[in-house]
Amino acid sequence: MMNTANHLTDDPAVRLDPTRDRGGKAQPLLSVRGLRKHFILKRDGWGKPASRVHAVDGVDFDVHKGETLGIVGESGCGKSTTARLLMHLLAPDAGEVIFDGDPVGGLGGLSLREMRRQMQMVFQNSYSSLNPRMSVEESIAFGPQVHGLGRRESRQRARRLLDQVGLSPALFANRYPHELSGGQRQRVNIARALALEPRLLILDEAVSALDKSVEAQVLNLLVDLKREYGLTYLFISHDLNVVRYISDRVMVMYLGKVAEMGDTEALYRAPAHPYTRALMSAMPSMDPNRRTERAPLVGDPPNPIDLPPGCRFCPRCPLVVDECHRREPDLMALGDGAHSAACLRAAEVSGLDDASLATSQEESP
Amino acid sequence: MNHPAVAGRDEANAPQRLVDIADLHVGFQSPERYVHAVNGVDLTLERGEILTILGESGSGKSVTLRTLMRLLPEKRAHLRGRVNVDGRDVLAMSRRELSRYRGRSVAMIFQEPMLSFDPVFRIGDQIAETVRRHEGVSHAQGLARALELFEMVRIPSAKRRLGNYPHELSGGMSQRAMIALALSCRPKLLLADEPTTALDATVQIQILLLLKELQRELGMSIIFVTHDVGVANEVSDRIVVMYAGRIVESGSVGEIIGRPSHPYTIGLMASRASGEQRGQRLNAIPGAPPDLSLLPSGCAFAPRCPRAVDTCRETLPAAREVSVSHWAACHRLEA
Repeated sequence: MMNTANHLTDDPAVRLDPTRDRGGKAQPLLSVRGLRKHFILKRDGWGKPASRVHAVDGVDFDVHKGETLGIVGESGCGKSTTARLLMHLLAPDAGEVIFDGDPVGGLGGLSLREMRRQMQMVFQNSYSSLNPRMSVEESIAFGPQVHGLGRRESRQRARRLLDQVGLSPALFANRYPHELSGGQRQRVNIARALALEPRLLILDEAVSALDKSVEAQVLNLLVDLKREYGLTYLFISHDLNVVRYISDRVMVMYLGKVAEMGDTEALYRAPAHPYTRALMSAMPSMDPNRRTERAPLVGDPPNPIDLPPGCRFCPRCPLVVDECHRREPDLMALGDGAHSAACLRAAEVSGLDDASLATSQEESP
Repeated sequence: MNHPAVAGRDEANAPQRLVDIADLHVGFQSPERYVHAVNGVDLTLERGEILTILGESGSGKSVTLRTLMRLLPEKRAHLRGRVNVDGRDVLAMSRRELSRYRGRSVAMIFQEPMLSFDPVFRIGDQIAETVRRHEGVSHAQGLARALELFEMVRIPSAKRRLGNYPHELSGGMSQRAMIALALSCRPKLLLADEPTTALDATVQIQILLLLKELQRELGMSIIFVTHDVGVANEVSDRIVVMYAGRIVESGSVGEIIGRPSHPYTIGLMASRASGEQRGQRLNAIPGAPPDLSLLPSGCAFAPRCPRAVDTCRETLPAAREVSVSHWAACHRLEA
């Protein structure tokens, strides 16, 4: 374990301090190009894939230093698979992941071990992501110890982190996961993710299982930690309100592809993809006088096995035209380039109000 | 707890109410401790009304719902109080009476539709079997009723879908099938325990709208349990907010969402993340809900409440009227 490609120094204390910023502020912390993962369901007699799930089907994006990029979408859109591919918990079929200028994996690139020190993840299920037979302190200290920090120093670091996530070390360090509430366990998971002093934190539905009053506490904690450690977040959620609150930029995924991407406020104010529009008007209203009268989409999100030709949103799209069935739209910049959408009619959509979108839905059979 | 809505009630009107729960206590005995899950709940439901019980985990909302159906484990659950549905005493029912009552008077839908169906039988046959057992008709008649129900819950190509096995249906579709199963014996009261929590947003809104339409078409009443204020706003006529096994506030949708009065309800609304608070800290409610085996003697919310004074920690607050249809159980409403 100790002889991996770790060329920095032998002093463990120094070694754990990551070689911070390399490419400067303008270089994205994470660049993802052409990321793809298909799960093969069936093979024919010759061993060739007969049917496959297009879980992530060619995804490009950058995460800038110090920002929070939100990823939203429904089940099956590939948002969680994307996170797992980035962490190499799943091996991608194709695509390139560049961390601060260094390609991850492959010859001469950043080793997985090195990458995982810089990039950590917090999962939705706070219970199953902790070892039930390790105390909270041991769980947090485990990573640094594996990476060569001494036992005493690791424990000290664990206690300091517990304090930082709002759990008093004196009370909590020796407890086991089953002795904690969901919110407390998620705080432990966050502390553990921070134990290696990563630069990028992937939060995969990290607050989704929490009660609303606890969710707000954990969101506040995430905002504080980000400021304190200069972290960059990749925040994955199905909750559009939470994503709007925490993200600087948002990426909307649909069936393994990016449907729309842009600065949070621009995207929420004028969504340019019909799917983003539908997603937003499907949010339960908070105004008793303006309840939702009509569902924006019918049916369930299709499974990403048999994809329609052309744009994959065609079968559910209220604005579909013939061209959509023939051509799969690329992500195209709108206006200033900070906002882009993969829709042939994007320019029209962002100008529409909800009423006209509803009428056009009525007209289409 | 005696609240104005109960105190001012005319006993002669009582039989008209579909549900009448008074001073309900539910506790669970385990070897180590006694958990006070529901602590004196008074709740009424008019015919044709949609009521939402809003609360977080451990608030007692699901336990209250399950009590209406007598689904709690008989040996471990200690029930006290009065639960009347459609003029009948639910807590006094025998097993035979219960099996007639379930399905015909009251039916329930759950968060996880897959668990309501047996994975090895076709959906249509399972619904037909339910109808046959409860109404004593033939299997063919049961199947005909199943088709009718599938069309009612707007399942496309209903006939073909009846022949599907549960795993062949998508999340939204199996939720519709479960609603069809629940409605198969024309219940007067539908209990919905977080039925849309596991669904995607675009599907959730479809199911919520479907439930509202069905309620109108069939004239039934619905008690909806959720932790999501948005969902409560979309479906309900009236909302009650539960905390630590008690109802802390009750009112119409407009009153609860628009003018919440109890500090807990106010805190819940204020802690919701939204676009307006970008870059600011959220007004999270500090602390955590109390341990239900060690409830404080006063108001259970006092340890987390910004308005709490000594009185709150000593005595249980009674319900106080905010308006005719709106009350809250708090000593410090004016603070």
